Amino acid sequence: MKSPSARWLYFAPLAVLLGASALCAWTLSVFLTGPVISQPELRPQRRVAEDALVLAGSGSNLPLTRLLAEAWGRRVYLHESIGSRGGVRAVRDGAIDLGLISRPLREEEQQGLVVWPYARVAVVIASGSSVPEQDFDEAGLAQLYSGVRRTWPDGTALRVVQRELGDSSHDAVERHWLRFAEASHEAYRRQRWRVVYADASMRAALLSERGSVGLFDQGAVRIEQLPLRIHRVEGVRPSPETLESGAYPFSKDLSMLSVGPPSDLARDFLGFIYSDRGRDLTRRAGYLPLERPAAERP
Amino acid sequence: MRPPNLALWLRARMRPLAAMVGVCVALGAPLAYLHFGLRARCAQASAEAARIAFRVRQEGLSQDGLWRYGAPKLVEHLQAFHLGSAERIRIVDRFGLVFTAGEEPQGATVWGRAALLLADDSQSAVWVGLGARDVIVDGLVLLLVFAAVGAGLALLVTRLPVRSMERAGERILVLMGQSELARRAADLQEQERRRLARELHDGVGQALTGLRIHLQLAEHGDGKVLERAKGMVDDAIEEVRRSVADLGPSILDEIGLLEALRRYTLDFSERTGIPVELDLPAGDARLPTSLESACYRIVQEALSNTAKHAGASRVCLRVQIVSEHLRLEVSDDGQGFEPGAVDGQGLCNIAQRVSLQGGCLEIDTAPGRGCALRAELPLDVEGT
Ligand SMILES: Nc1ncnc2c1ncn2[C@@H]1O[C@H](COP(=O)(O)OP(=O)(O)OP(=O)(O)O)[C@@H](O)[C@H]1O
Ligand SMILES: [Mg+2]
Repeated sequence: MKSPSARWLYFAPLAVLLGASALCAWTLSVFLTGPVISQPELRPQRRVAEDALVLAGSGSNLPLTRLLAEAWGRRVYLHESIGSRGGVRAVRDGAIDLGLISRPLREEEQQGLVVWPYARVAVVIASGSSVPEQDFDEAGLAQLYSGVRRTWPDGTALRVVQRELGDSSHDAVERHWLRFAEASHEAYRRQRWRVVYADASMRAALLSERGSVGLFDQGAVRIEQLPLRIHRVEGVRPSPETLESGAYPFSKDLSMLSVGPPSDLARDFLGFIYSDRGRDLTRRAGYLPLERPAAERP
Repeated sequence: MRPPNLALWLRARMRPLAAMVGVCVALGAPLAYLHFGLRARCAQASAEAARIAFRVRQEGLSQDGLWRYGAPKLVEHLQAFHLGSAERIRIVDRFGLVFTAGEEPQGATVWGRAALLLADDSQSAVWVGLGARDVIVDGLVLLLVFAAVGAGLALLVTRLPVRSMERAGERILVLMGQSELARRAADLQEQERRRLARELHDGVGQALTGLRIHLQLAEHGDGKVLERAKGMVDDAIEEVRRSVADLGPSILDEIGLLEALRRYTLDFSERTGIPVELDLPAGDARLPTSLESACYRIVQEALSNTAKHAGASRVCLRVQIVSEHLRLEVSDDGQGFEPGAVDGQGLCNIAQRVSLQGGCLEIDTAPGRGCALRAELPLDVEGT
């Protein structure tokens, strides 16, 4: 009694198989779908106003640049920190007139950009004013970051505040002191200390937390008249003079960026910066004024 | 009549069912694992996207439209220091990709999204991609395991019912054979009744008719007729005795099998002149009625075959009761026969009676070597 009518029953498992495959495909497609990225359009240029100069970039440049812009007397719109990299990209995209950077341009960034270095600032080892002035050498600073040394001489607990990887202040010190660089990177990897992301956060941490210590800009301390203790490095106190003489090792150069020749307004601002008055202001703010690049001299 | 092949029929229906069970078992758990595993991974990715979006927004609020330029540095910092598991991060806005961190996706990646909610761009969002290869590989391993389990189950689901059905089919065949036997037994009874009617008609009936005629003649005073009538009555009595002996079973009720066999063999020897050697158990143990009458009939037929065909000089009848069985043997020293080459009703009837009793039969004979008929019948007839 062969029953061919039973053959249609095979459709049931077949249907289940098909359904399961469909479900599987659906599940995969739902969860594995990433962002749909259209071809990037040209981003619209953004300006606050035609007669205002728009600047943005590294947070290290902001205190001095703000000071200079106020002295210049024309309308300047200065954005909060977007980092040196952000400054490079924004000026390239035409979103701003001049980019602000606190580190040398990387090779891949250089093309088509004109760099206007205008000030050199000392990178200092700073802490709250309650900490007595210290004198650090390479080993001493490395001990701080590697956690070997835990207290200040007066017994208060020592709290290091680090910056994110690639921060220009850290780069400036690590370039000279390799053992410190190792200690700092190791501490970062192990998340031994608090890591802050912006100059403003570093300032707040140093001011508010007892016994905290970190790398900071001398210029910002002076312009904002911050009650912070600045420590000696191998016996040398940081200042524009010790920077200039080369006695104090840690510094970074602040520059502006333009795409090709700058606009008239920007050229005017740069002219002011490189003028005697601008250079004088810069020096009094605790920075070492730099020369206009040779190629751009009139 | 052949019974339907139920096993075949069942197999045709069980196979798709088993395939269904196999497929469901094989796919169910792995699919669920895949779905929920990917969903959990997706939720994780979305949560990380939300954390990143929160920070980017926090920073971006003070950067106005320039958040796009500030975000990469922040995201790289978050990825390096805070979010070890966010493997790929992409930030998009209405113009396209703003920034991507982490290696580009290799293989399966699950994506989670969180809106950035920045005033200048309602479409900006953070996407976080997490590798999902492990989930998929685990799912495949599960699939292998469950496929094996499913196949085993499917096999079981078909095998067990089909096996039982095959057994049931065999049993049905046996039962059908038995009912056929019962039908034959009824036929046998019918035949016996007709023979009885025939014998009564031809034997006793004829004798009584003749007797009536002679009695009528005797009314007219013929003395010789009375003499002949007396002879006829004697014949009729003899005829009735023989018929009663043939009917057998009724005397079994009164005197039992063993005694009935003794009388029958005596009568047989008297009629045929062939001596019967008897070997019966002592006493007069009573056996179940159907068994007694079957034995009696078998002996009758065997002895009558001996008389008819064997040309034997002696016959031996042996009955033994051995542990729950009754053994019956009728052997002669006659000419024997070729067991396969014969054709008659008597031996068939014997075989049927034996199998109706649930016993077994053996006919041991060859031309020139006599014939021994052995039957072994269980005493407990009800049990078969
Ligand atoms: N004891 C015997 N000795 C020799 N031949 C025998 C013996 N019993 C049976 N046969 C052979 O087997 C055959 C079949 O026997 P069976 O009893 O079936 O049929 P039957 O005696 O010919 O006819 P019936 O149906 O009237 O009994 C017989 O014809 C005979 O040739
Ligand atoms: Mg016979």
